Amino acid sequence: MGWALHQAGRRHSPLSVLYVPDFSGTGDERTLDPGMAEQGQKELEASLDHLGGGSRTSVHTVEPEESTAEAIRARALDDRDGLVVVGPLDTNTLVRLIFGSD
Amino acid sequence: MVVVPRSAWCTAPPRSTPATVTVGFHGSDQAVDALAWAVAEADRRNGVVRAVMAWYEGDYGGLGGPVAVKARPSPLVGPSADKMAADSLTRCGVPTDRVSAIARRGMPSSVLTREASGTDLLAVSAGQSDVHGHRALGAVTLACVARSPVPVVIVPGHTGAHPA
Repeated sequence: MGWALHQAGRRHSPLSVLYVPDFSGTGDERTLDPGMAEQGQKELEASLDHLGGGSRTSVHTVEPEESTAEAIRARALDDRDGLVVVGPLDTNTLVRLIFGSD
Repeated sequence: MVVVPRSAWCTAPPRSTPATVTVGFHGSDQAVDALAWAVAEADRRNGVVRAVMAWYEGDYGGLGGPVAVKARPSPLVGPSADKMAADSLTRCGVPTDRVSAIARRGMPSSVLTREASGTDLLAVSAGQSDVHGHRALGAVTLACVARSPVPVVIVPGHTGAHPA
């Protein structure tokens, strides 16, 4: 996130942060404890403030029924000049993010 | 799509002066897309682009994979190789005042990650191919993601050079 904030500053771009909570279960079965999600989002926003990016960032929390890859793609594809920043991912997730649901 | 290596997560990224975007280039349509994206990104950063061509002259040993490169002189080294790379850019209509080109011998992923070290970004084409009806990332792209010391931008082809 620090790298992304730095790049957003360098490009004079806003930063949209996608918060992926710790879900229970996987796929269609995954669920989310609302208390944990709220706590996690608060911690994330505190981190953003600490890094100095609070005012130019927006945070979206991924819902249990939402595909993380599709949530990223839905926000990224509208912005042709934007960058999608991720940490190291497994190959399958990378392919889904870049090419869609394939 | 930018994949940021773990080593770059929490530290202030090294800042080359001017900002330098390294891009892998081998003349394919996808590589031209990646180059176009790199040029646009360098514009946004008031920086420059370093296009790197790599080639491997060794023998591929079938199931065993690549074997040692034969120690033989090659005309494709040094200034002549760099000129060849620059000529390739010119043929693609790239503005060479802000793009420098170099050519290096070696395994492409090794050359690209080595040359990208100390620059701001490494841009590569997705190197996509269809495997049994499913799209897949190219081997060089995946190797760059795994090994690069700097963030790697993967530029899919046929998208107007949008990175994701």
